[in-house]
Amino acid sequence: MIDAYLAELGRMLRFRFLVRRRLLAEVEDHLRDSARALGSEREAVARFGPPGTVASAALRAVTPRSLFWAALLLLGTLSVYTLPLYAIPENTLPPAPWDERPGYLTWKLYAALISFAVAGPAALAALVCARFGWSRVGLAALVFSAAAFALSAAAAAVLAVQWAAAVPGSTMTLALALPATALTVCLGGSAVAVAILHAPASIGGRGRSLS
Amino acid sequence: MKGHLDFLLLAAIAREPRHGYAVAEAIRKSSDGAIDLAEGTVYPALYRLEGAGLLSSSWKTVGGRRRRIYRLTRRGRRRLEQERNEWTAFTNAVQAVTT
Repeated sequence: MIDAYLAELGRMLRFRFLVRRRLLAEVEDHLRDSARALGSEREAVARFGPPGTVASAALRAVTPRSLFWAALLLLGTLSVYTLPLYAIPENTLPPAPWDERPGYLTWKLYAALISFAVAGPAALAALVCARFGWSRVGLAALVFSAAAFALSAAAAAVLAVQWAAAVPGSTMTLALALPATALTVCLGGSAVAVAILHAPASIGGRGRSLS
Repeated sequence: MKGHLDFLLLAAIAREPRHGYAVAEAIRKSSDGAIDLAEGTVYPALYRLEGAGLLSSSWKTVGGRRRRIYRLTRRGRRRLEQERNEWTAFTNAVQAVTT
């Protein structure tokens, strides 16, 4: 009976790996102690309550903290991203051979910069929301920030390739900027994944929303 | 009971650091069975209180088994004191009206 309960609880938390391990360990100890005291596994499980209710409540309890760390990670990643976006090209690119920047580079440059300018405040908003327990708004801000960040990184990556092709002698810049961009995008993606995987079921899209 | 769960948990843990089952048992025994929590609500509440910085927890071996032990932080003690004062004021007020 206890094993079946734990299996069901584990199934409901299978993608929420951080909370799953700890909750399952604690619940198992609790149920075994309770069954020993009551002399019945069935009664111990009945007293504990439905696994869906427990799983959902546990996720709601840990979401603000997960969101806080995810938003902090995203903000840190955005700070690192200024290296491939600005610091590395600014300090290593050879002088451009044109008087006026070609249009196909200009719009990608603005796309990268504007998206970046939007991603930062959105991540900060997610952090503030997490601090005050506004999980849904915070998660929305985090996802929006990550989307803007991804757009900025994509535009910057294409821009880097086209810029290197148009400006002789910029190979080293490209060699530094692209891996740095890829790394920051991976970190940013991880931040969002952590937040979504630990969001309540009603946000994460899996399981039931219970209260 | 829902609004007082945090208060009860903090008070039970203030007496001594405990694991989740011991917390639920302490509340039941202290109240002579009058307060019988839905036990599954205890862990999410403990996680929430820990997230708010009112509790800390760590794994410890108790009776040969690894258990997660919860203890009050300094902030948790302050919150408990505040909750106690509010509860005393409330019960005094109700008593004054009803007796």
